[in-house]
Amino acid sequence: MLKYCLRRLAWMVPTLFGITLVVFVAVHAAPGDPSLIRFGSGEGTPSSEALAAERARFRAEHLLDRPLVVQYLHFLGPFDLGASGHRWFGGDGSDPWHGVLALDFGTEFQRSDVSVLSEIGRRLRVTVPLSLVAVLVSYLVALPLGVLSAVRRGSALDRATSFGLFALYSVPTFWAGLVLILLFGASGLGWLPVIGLHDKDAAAMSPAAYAMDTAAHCILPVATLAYGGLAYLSRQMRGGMIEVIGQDYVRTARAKGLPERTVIWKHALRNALIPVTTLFASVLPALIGGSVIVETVFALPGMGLYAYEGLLARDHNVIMATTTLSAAMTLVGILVSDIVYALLDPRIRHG
Amino acid sequence: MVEPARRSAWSRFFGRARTRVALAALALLYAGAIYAPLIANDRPLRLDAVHVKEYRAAWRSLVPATQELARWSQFSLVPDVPKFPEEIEREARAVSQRIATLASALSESDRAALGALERAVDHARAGEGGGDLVELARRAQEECRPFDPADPAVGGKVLQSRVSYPLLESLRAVDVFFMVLGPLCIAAVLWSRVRYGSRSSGQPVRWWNFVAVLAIAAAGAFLWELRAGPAPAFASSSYKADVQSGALVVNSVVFPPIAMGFAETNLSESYRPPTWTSAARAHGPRPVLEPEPRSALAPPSNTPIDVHFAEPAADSAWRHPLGTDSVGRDLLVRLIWGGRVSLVVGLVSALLLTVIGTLVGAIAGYCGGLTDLFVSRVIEVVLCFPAFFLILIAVAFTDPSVVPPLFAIAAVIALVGWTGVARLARAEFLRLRAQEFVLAAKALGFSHARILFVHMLPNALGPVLVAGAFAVASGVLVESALSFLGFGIAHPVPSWGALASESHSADHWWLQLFPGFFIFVTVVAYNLAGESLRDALDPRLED
Repeated sequence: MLKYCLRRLAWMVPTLFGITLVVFVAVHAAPGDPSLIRFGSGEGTPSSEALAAERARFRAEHLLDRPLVVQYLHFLGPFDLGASGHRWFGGDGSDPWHGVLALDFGTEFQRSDVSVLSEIGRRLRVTVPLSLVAVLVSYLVALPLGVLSAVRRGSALDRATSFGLFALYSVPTFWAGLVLILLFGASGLGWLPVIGLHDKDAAAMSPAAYAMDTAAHCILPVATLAYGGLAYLSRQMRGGMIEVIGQDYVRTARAKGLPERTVIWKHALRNALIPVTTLFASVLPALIGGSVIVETVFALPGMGLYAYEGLLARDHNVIMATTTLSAAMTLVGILVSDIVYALLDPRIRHG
Repeated sequence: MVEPARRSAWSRFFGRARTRVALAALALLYAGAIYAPLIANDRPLRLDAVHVKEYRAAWRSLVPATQELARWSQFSLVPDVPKFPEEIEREARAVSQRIATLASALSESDRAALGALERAVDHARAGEGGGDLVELARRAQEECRPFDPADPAVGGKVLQSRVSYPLLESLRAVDVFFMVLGPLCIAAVLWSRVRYGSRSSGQPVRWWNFVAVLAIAAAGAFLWELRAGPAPAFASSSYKADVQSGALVVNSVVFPPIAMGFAETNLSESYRPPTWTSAARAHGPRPVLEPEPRSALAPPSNTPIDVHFAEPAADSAWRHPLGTDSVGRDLLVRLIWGGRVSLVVGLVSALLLTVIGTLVGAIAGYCGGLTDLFVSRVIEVVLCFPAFFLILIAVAFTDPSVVPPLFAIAAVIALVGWTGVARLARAEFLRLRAQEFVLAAKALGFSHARILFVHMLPNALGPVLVAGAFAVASGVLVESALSFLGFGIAHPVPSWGALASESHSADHWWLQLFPGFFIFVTVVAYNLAGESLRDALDPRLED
């Protein structure tokens, strides 16, 4: 077991670096000059020379004119390869450490006083709670729903739920968000606020009112985040339960005279849960990565929107940081789900 | 060739009601996408009109053009000087064009002077000098003066009308290929029913049937390409504006059922709700208060609706069944045309995805050992890529002039999503590898390729096809998400996702509701078809 974990961890490291390399090459092969987007070209205006000087300084600061290998090594770290970098590489030693290995993703291209890592921290404080609540909601609703559908297979409840979940599963995320806004927002029923996380005058509220306000703002985004996973999980759960209930050991349990409740919720459920845990692998990256679409529709300043804005501004530091983080979370998520799967299913452990 | 087991799977698939509903919905959507140019277009199907403005423009510029030609030709007969053959050819072509325009609007008997001029132009083109070119041109101009109703005393020729088919001329070869392919397939199915009667479902479909259908469609498209000129430069045309301004005097015109183009703007109707709702009818046209996005000019409020030629009346309930967008383009027309992008990207990405995944999975499952290990690791690595980010990056960073964006989006979606199909295919091929028929084929000495594609692949296709059906649904969803974020096809070509992001204001509910609904219907149809396919191919349900 331990050897399995260690082997998987050891495999994770080169995979992560491979992913960062591919993304790095893709980002740098792009059309679009970050310095132009930041400063503009000012062609034909009196300030075009000053702007050109600014752009040259910007490009030198972020090593945009150096060869790709140098730029990648600078990104990787831990040595800073810039003009103010490590003395071993020609810098003046004032800021020697930089890069993934030094846990420093640099500063944003658009705002040079903001470090990418600190901004990611701020954005995570928005994304992680939302995603966590969404995951909890989807699991807490989907699992019992799936079990009930499987137990009452063929009944009206089962057919109605299956139909409803099938429809829910096919709804595009952005449409769900927009329809919810139309229904519950100011132009519809007007029950819930739809934009952002806080009201305009949130700072003046008492803590309790502030909490209520934030919760009210979170209802629609959480619903939009959760419904897709809910539908999928519920169907998987139903399928797994149906398969398990047909097994011999369930028949034995019933023959032993156990109450049906124990048969289902103690014996069958545990075995049906096993394949569902493999789906857990996709939870972690979604947790950190957020959903660009939901954040765009509801105007939430989260990680997804950060990555999207970085993409639009060709902000290499932001793109690389968000992608590296997301890839790392994906790998960790896969590892965790495999370990949990191995823990739950003795056949894998000893097989 | 069709085994009994597979035939019963086929009938299991088609027998279910939900399959038929799904396939009917898909057929409707695809028919709309394929025949979109013939359903909704601002170009007329058949136009019988006098092209007055064109005639006048050619008439006015006839003499100056001929003077240019004469200028270049004056040295043609002088020895030992450069002769300028290319310039003469260019100017001669310009004059001939004008002569043709003038001649097409005149009756046979009125073309004498033009004929003389044409002969002189040919002489000049052949390098024999432009002797009396200008004189002939002036005479032709006098003779071909158009009749002006505002000034009848001057006299002049009454112009003839000309029949043209602008819409058909704007179709590209690709459009024609698919327009022909659809009815051909239906005709083939009907023909087999007629020929074989009730036994038609048992008849095998030969490979050359497919090839014949595709070849006929391709031949049709090729002939079309030969006959037609280049595709029009702009998505919208000026025919309606020309009629209203008098540049075209129409005898008879046939428009497609919806006489509006997908790129045809109408600022007096911006943000109009669906015309059958009471909001649109009770209060009349909304005053246009927002400044036009690009020029930032605000038109005066309470602008009356500018109804173009051949469109329904301004207060008609069916003028804009789904409303308009910010510049007055009809939403229904844009949704029909948008289906071309969304459906095609979904289909192409799913096809690519399935092919790549099956190939990789087949090789991994069949070879086993080190190859299998290596391929499994590659699949894991690709799985670890943050898919949506990668798609966003790849799409944002491809140069639209080098790679057509449709194909770029489909390729990227396929390159990121093939792992699921690869895993399925690998499991299937691993299972089949131990079967006796494979061992027998190996013992007979067949090549690996033959065993893989002739013997194993038809048996492994079941789960792969099911995964393919679901892949189309997810491809459509991903493409719509991408266009929603602004990374899809460029304006003015619409795509369902892009249409949904036209306005985030809650006042414009129709712009948010209807595009998403179309995507929803497509995804539901593909999911239904995929589920029916899965139930039909489930080996546990086989007798």
